[in-house]
Parts: sequence; structure tokens; C-alpha cells
Amino acid sequence: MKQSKNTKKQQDPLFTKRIGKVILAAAIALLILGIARNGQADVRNKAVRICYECIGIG
Amino acid sequence: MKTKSITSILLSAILLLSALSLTACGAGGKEAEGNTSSNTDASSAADADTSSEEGAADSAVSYLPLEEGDTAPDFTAALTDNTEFTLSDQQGKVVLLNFWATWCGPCVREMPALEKLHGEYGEDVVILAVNCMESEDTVNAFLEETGYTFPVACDMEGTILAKYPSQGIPYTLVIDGEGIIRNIYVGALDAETQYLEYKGAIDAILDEA
Amino acid sequence: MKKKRKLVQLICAVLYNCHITGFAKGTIYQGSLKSACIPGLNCYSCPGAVFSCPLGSLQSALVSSKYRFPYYMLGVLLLFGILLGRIICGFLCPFGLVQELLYKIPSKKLKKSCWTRRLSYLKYVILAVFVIGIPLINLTPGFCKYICPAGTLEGGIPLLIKNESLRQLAGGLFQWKVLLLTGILLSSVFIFRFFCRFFCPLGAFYGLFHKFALFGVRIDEEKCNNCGACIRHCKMDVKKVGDAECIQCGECIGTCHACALKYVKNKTF
Repeated sequence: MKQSKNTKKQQDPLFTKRIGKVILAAAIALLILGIARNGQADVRNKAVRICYECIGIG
Repeated sequence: MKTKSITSILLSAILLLSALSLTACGAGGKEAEGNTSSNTDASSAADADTSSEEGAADSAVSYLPLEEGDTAPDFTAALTDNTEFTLSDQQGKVVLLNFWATWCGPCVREMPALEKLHGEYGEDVVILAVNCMESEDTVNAFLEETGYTFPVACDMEGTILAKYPSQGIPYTLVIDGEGIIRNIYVGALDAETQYLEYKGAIDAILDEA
Repeated sequence: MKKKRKLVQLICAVLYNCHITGFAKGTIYQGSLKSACIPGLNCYSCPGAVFSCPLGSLQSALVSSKYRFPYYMLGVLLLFGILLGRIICGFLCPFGLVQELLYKIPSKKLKKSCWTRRLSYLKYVILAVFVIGIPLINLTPGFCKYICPAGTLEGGIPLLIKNESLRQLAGGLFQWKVLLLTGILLSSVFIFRFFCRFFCPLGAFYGLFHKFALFGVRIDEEKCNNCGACIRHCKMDVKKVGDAECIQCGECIGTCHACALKYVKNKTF
């Protein structure tokens, strides 16, 4: 039981290290790409009109 | 890292958020926006220009939505077929003015009604669907896929929309030959229902003549 | 810690919705702050909302994804997930606060069990079907339209109170949403975070990052003696502290006699 605990400790950090870094890099890349293409303006344009569907009307 | 540090990080983030929010929250949220849009870091330069232009346009126009009986504000729109449309040139014709966007489900769902109405009447009735602040590519891609033939205009800066303030879309107005708004519709149920509604309004005006 | 967390939650709820004139006039804020999303669930059709809702924005973006790929929204959600994960649930979500306050009302409380644990998987189904599937296929914001109680509570009800024209448009769908909202709010009195545990797709999404998130409550494996006191004390359906069901509230930290629990900055970075 103790052995599996130790190997688990060694495996997880390496695995999570790589994936965590990849996800963060992807997030930043997507954000930069999104802002370059004015994606945040799209978000704003949708948010400033009442979403009738969101509030339960037609 | 101690529990205290996590809370302090969160609290500093919230302080930053407060600073941003408080610039927006004022007696008149709308008026504050003129300043906010130039201050916000998140906006790209293009977005800031759009917002401040909108802010300027809004201060010139009443924030209150138009009502039936009002004179329809004049505007010029660039259509997707590269021609121009000016409302005041449509004297004597009934105009059905519709505001829409590709991301708005009800807008897209009611479009068959607009297409049907476009084909039914001749010169006397003009349908115009103004797209709300989406790029030309988006609008063209949408039209290519759906194949609608009624006149569509792009309002990328939101200048036309600013003259027709609405809290939601689809926003449809039926304007008579003298430029008076006779009917206003907000929201849409489905193409069939909207077709009957719009047809009824248009026919009522035509029958008067 | 409990009090600090409540304070943070309260400040967030007020901050996200500080456009007070909206409530008075029955209109929504239209400024450029709405380009930014807050991390928790807060309807952008709420008259007071000053920022955008991540779920609402995502669904809208997916509806028009055919013509415009939603790079920005995906980036925002991934960033929230990887930096904060379900800390957002524990600290930064107004609807989570609403449920916790309702739970404070004295009553018999439903204890968690293997059934509640099983039911907690339902939110992943809701994420897949209503947040992703329906917008892509039916071109409509499925979760917002059919389920979201925050939308009804913060957006629908205040707007309908102030706008007669909207009241006329309200039909069967609105009735369903009010019914659903009532059911969720009532159940929250007896069942801790009823919506969060079983229905919230945003919590489901953030939970996916539990192993990678930058900040979170972590177990010091060397100190832990597997007594399970933390899991017994926790009101969420966790199998282990810091798993996908953990909302990172930190209330288990005080229960650990071995001092094996604390908030850490993930050594991944």
C-alpha cells in the first residue's frame, strides 16, 4: 500500500505538470487569438441585448 | 501557501474588479459608459472606438425605445449587394425594418417569414433586415448558406441600431409611406406566426391608400 | 475562514450586479464591461449585471460557431478553469451563495449518500446536452433557455416585473422556468447546494480541472492518516478532498487533526 502511494506521488506531478502547462498555454493562446479577432466584442454584443430565450420568453 | 494568502489574492482581485465595476455603476449607467469604454483594458482599440462612437450617438438620441406613432429616424445602410438604402428615399412605400443577428435563435427562425413577404409584394413594400454589429464575413457566410434574397444590411458600428434603441432582438418595425412607425414587434415566436402578424400590419397600411 | 469566504461571496454577488438603475428601470446594462465574463453563474440579462455570464456567452458563441469560431470564450473558460477551478464555485459564484444562505434555514437536512454521489454525474450530462449539444444543433442556448435558474431569478423575474410588454410575451416556457426555480430554491433548504451538486454544468466544467488548477486545497499525503474526518465533515459528494466534487471552500481544513490539508499553489507551475 505504501509503495503504491509513493509511485502515485511520483507519477501524478509529472503528468499534471505537463497537462497543466499545456492547458495554460492553450488558454492564453486562445485568448490572444480571440481578442485579435475581436471576440470580446461578440461577447459584449450578445450580453447587452436581453436574451429573451434566457429569461424564459420565446 | 497559507489560507490567508489565498484570501488576500482573492480580495485583491475583487478590489480590482470593484474599481472596474464602480466606473460603470453610476446614476446613469449609460452615461458612464462613454468614459468606461476608453478606460477598459480588455477592449481592443477597435472595440473602444465602436463603444465611444455608440456612446456619442446615444447621447444625441433618446435612450427610450421608439413608440408606435413616432417618426422613424432616417438612416443610410450599406446592403450586402453593395447598394445603398436610405430610409427617406422610401417615401410612399411601406418599410418592414428588422434587426437581427446570426447568434439570435428567434431572429433566424423568423426569417422564412421575411423571405415570403419579400416575394409577395412588389415595389410598394420594402423589407430590410439590418444585422447587428457582426462582421461582413459572418453575414455573407450566413446568407450564402441560407440563400435568403431579401435586402440585408450590415451595421457593424451599430450606428443604425443606436437610432433604434432596443433592449432585445429580433426587433421589427413597420413604417408607413410617410415615415411613421405603425407597429413595433419585439421577439419572435416562429416564422408562421410572425408572417401572419407582419402581413396583417402591412396589409392594414396598404388598404388605407 | 468561513466568515471570510461568506464575505468574498457577498462582495462578488454585489459587484457583479451593481448596476442598480437597471432594477429600477427594468433595463439592462449596455456598456463595454460586458466584454468580460465573471467566473461564476450570473445571468447577463439581469438588470443589475455589469459583466457577462460565462455559460450564456459560451452558448451564444456556440450558436454562431459556424460563422465565427469562439476562440475568446474558450480561452476565457480554460483560463478560469486552470487558474481557479472550483474555487470559483466556493468563493465567486452568486448562485452558490444563494443556495448556501437558503440551507441556513433550520430544517431537516438530507444527508449525502451513494445516491447523491451517483446523481452528481447528472451535471456532466447537462453540460454535454444543454450547454454544448443544443446550441450547436438547435441554434439555441439550451441551458439558458430550459434550465438556468439564475436566469429566471436574476433576469426573468426582475425584467418582467418592470416591463409590461415582456409580461405579455411570457408563456408556458416561463412558467416552466419559474417552477424549476422554485423547486431548486425550496430543495436548497433541505439539500446542501442542490443545484451545484446535481445540475450545474459550469461546476461540472470547472471540476474537470481539479488535478491541474493553480490554486486549491491539497492533501499532504505524508501527513494524512486516512482517517476520513474531512470527507465526513464535507457536505459535497467528495471521495477525496480536492476531487471534481470539491468546491474548494476550505471548511475541511479545520477538521484535520493531522494538519494535512491546506490551500496550495500547485507545484505544476
